[in-house]
Amino acid sequence: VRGAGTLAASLLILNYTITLFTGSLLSRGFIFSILALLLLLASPLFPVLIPIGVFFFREPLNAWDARSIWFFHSRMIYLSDGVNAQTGFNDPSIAWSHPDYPTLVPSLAAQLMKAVGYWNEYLPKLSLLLLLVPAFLWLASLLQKKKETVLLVAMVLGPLANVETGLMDGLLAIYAGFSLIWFHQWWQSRRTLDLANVYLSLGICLGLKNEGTVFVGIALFCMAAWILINHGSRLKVVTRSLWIPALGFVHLLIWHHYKSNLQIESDLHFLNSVGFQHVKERLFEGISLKHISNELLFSKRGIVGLLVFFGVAFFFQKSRQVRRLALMSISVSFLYFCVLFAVYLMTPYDLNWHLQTSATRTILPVLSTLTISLVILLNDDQSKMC
Amino acid sequence: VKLPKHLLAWLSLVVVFVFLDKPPREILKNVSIFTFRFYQEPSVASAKWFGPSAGGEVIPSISIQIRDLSLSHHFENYDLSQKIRSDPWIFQQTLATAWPLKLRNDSPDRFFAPKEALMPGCIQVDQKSEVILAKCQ
Repeated sequence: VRGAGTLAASLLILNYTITLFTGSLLSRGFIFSILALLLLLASPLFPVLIPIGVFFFREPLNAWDARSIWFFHSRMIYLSDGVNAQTGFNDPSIAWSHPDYPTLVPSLAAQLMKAVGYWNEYLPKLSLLLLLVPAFLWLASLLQKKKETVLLVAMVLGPLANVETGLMDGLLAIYAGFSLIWFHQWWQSRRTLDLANVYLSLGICLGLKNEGTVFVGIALFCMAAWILINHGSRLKVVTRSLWIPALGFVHLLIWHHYKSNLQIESDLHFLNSVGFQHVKERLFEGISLKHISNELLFSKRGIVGLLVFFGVAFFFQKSRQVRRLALMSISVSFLYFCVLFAVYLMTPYDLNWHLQTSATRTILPVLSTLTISLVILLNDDQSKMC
Repeated sequence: VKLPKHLLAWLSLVVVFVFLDKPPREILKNVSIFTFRFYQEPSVASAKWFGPSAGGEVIPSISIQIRDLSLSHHFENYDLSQKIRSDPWIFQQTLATAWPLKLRNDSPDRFFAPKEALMPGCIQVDQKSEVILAKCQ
């Protein structure tokens, strides 16, 4: 099942990479072949996927960001038959749509709609369901062994309501969580497939939204630091497996190449002196700090609950190695939380509005990685930890 | 001290329900209702998903009217009045719906809201319930 999950994830990324690489959507036959293979791989999961699919399709796409960003980009790609100069990402009239955002879901949805033959407001949601296939396959493989089933299921099911609306934060949360659990698995098993799964989950994070790049940077930094400190010789394995991230990450390079060729401006312009001026003002205000903390920490009560559980489980866990690995994992959550905090401090928008419209979803990857930190801590297969 | 795994697992179950983005009862209820309906009459439940106009009700009607007028008049581009632009949702959805037709500030084909005064040099050429089309010099 794990192999099937890896294959499904590889197919999705490959599909996306080819679209970007060739600049045009793949033929209907090719898409149908990939879909047929994915359906075959996911067939044991139909009892779960069908109710989720029905739940997803109960409403058309109507969330603001879904319609104005992700699925607008998708329709643009669909209409121009690929990512190319005619797509119009550099048109100044749509600068509000953040045309620099990654296009994994938009390009998948565009390809699906090409296979369907027309565009409407329901069927592009299939791309979201398609992206959940590797997650459910991976979940099924992990549940065969894990006693911490409830937490792993929560990590995948928790963000589903967000995924259903067509926003990317839920998917980012799911794959951010998987990257950490696969790293943990790889550390125990030393299997290349587990390492491949780390890269593939990070690759999916990169293709979802800009926050995914931040998460990948933090996760790779913490993972590399962990390997260097604990078992430097494993770096050789990582180096030998460097062809794997080529599959997982190459789409980012191609997308950057397109953005630079098409002169698509990034919306990260607030990371400049004006942004730092905002930080200075908000730091001295004091109220803003409290406001951001409240919204990020308490908008989802799960964070506090998970932190309490983490503390309890940390106290009871006897293995020093397990505790340290869990600390590495929670460091990823903490650093990502700090970046989110800094972004809200720097935001050029009204802080109150920005927090109220986004904090409950941007915090989801923190929740999922915290959940995985707890899963790692509850792990009792200490014999394999080295 | 042995790790009280069962206790933690059950406590974790509580976290699951806190963790869900929407109230879990609502999600479970929706999943059950829609799955039940789907299995009862799959063709009826899924009928609304298919066809080029499926889900069109989420697009603001003014955006659809602007797109239809632009297509019927074979525009290369169009412009929107300040009143139409003032609502960000309508503005963005109009651009998204009319795409690949582009918004251009210097376009002679400009859309106004009903009861909105036309700019000097603009003559009304067409109208729908929520929008007025004018040719401007």
